[in-house]
Amino acid sequence: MNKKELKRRDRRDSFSSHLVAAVPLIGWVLFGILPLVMAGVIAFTELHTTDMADMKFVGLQNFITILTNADEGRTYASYLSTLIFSINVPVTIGVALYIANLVNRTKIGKNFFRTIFFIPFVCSMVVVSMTFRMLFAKDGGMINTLLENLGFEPVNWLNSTPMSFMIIAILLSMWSGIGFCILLYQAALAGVDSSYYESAKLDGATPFQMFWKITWPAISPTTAYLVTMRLIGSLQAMTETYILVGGSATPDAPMWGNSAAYVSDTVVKHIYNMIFEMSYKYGYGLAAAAGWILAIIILIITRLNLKWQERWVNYDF
Amino acid sequence: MTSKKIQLSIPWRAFRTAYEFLRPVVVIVALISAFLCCMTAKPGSSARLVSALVLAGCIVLLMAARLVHNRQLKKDAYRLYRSWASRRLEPRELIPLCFITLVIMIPFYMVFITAFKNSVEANQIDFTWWPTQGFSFDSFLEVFTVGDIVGLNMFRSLINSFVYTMIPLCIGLTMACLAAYAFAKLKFRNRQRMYRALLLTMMMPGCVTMATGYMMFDWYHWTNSPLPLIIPGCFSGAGTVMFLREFFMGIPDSLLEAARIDGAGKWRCFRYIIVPMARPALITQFIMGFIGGFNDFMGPMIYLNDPEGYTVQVALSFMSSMTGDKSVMASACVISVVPMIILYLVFQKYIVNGISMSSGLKG
Repeated sequence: MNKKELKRRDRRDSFSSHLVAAVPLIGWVLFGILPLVMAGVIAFTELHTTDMADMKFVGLQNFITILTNADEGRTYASYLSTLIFSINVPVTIGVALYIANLVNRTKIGKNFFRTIFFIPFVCSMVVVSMTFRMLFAKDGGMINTLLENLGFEPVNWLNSTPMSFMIIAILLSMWSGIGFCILLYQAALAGVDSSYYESAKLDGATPFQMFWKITWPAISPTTAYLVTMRLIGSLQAMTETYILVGGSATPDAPMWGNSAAYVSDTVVKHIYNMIFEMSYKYGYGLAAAAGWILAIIILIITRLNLKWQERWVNYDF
Repeated sequence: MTSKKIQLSIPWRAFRTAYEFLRPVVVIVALISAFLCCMTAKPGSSARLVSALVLAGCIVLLMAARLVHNRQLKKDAYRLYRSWASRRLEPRELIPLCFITLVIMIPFYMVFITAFKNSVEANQIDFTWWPTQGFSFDSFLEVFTVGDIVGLNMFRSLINSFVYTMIPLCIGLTMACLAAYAFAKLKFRNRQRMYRALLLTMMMPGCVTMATGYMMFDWYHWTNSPLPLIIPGCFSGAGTVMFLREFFMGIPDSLLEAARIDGAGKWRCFRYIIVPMARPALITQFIMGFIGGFNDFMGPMIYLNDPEGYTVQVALSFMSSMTGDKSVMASACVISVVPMIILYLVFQKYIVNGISMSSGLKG
């Protein structure tokens, strides 16, 4: 085998390596870049159909409309409901930490409990939301029947006030996501070296001190990861509330003092509405602008979150 | 420990056991009644009074029990109590856990039991904890016929879901495997550059391209067909490639070198060394991809307009707006969710490993 042939074989090999490694990139170029570039263009235009010929250049008007809340007050309302929905992040993580702690301390059935708690996570959001709709239904719902048996008035959970609807949405999100958090927390808690606890106990530390000075710093990377992931997920949530109101375009619970906005319209649902339910009114251009603004807000929040985490997350354990 | 035997008095032992069992229960009752007191009842109604009384009673009970308990603890043998508690089942952990398990399982129980009720009982105004009018399987049959008017067929949508998930999963996983092999074990000029570009694709925000993605597929005339769900998945994504690359990096190079010396080419190394060794990672990715694809709702809802092509999730959402029959809805939920639960229970180990691996956290 002479030198020339070796070189040719190398080049052939290199070509096949390039090709194989490029497949995911090719997919992104085909289906990722074009929408991104288009989103950059049509965010500055008014467009009500998928046909680019109808495009009308309006400059920064779309961004101004979104930022000044000029779409009948829907934008701010949607951000408000998304923010309220995001309460599920600290609640879920706190409860998950408590449960993971309990699971870790039991001597029997560790895997059993973990298995049980994780089951809701593999159920689809549609099924989970429908289950909660049945659970909290006004007539014939399990919770209301329980309340009535106890002698209370039945509550119209889903349709009376925005707050009660949001409580259900938060509960739903918590129920479906808690298994994931418990799983990670359990692994983190099991990884904490028990010698820390022993020496702390010798020094006479209380359980609270031991948790706050040992456990919490040791599991802080997990907490940081969960906060980041769940926050990003919550800011882009849509299916939960969409199914919870019944999948129709006109849900029953209007937003705080704003008859045009509904509590189930999270930011992403609002963008969805702009494209598919009311494209004659808002259209693709406005939706793209709203998408950019949401993306920037998510970016800023993630950035702040990471900055903030530098202060209390401890990777040395 | 055994040499120092301190006999506990029987009433104290009974009290302590009762205390350990009752405290979480009382706490939970207190919390519930506080919630009810604030949230539900009309002001001035008797229900609010009752819940306030229950709350007050719980608090008094808790404090009294706590006082007695603390005094007894100091007086009696604290050390023996500790050793007892560390040896036996600990009700302090087990009871809250069992209660939480119960709470988490109640929605499932409700759906399952509603699915087995007949439609009269399921839709009456009072929820019943057990199908008092006998078990009925009619609603399961009705799930498959209720959408006939609009051409929606649950059986077909199950098959649709399966096909739309499996095609991109199989092709995409193969592609991801090859790409990860190239990034982890092969040497070529632009490796680092391409890997960085791949990481960059993960930064793309999904909400931005919601409108334009639809427009693009509309230009291709792909909307109202499953192609937007299938084709992009076939190229695999950055997440899968990264996961597999991490795993492949762990396979020692010496194995591959040994195979090289014996005359195996790159493909042979991949096929006979990498793939068999990476089987757990591949199964993990397969299961997680299948569950994720099967449970996806947004994509199918945007791109599928024809009831005949609906996936299970869209069909469920569509059916819920079509029929008000709770037992039918519950049966549909059961039908769509049971395969996933079985899959999870069978492949639990892989899913758990996959999640702790993809989170990149130790432990």
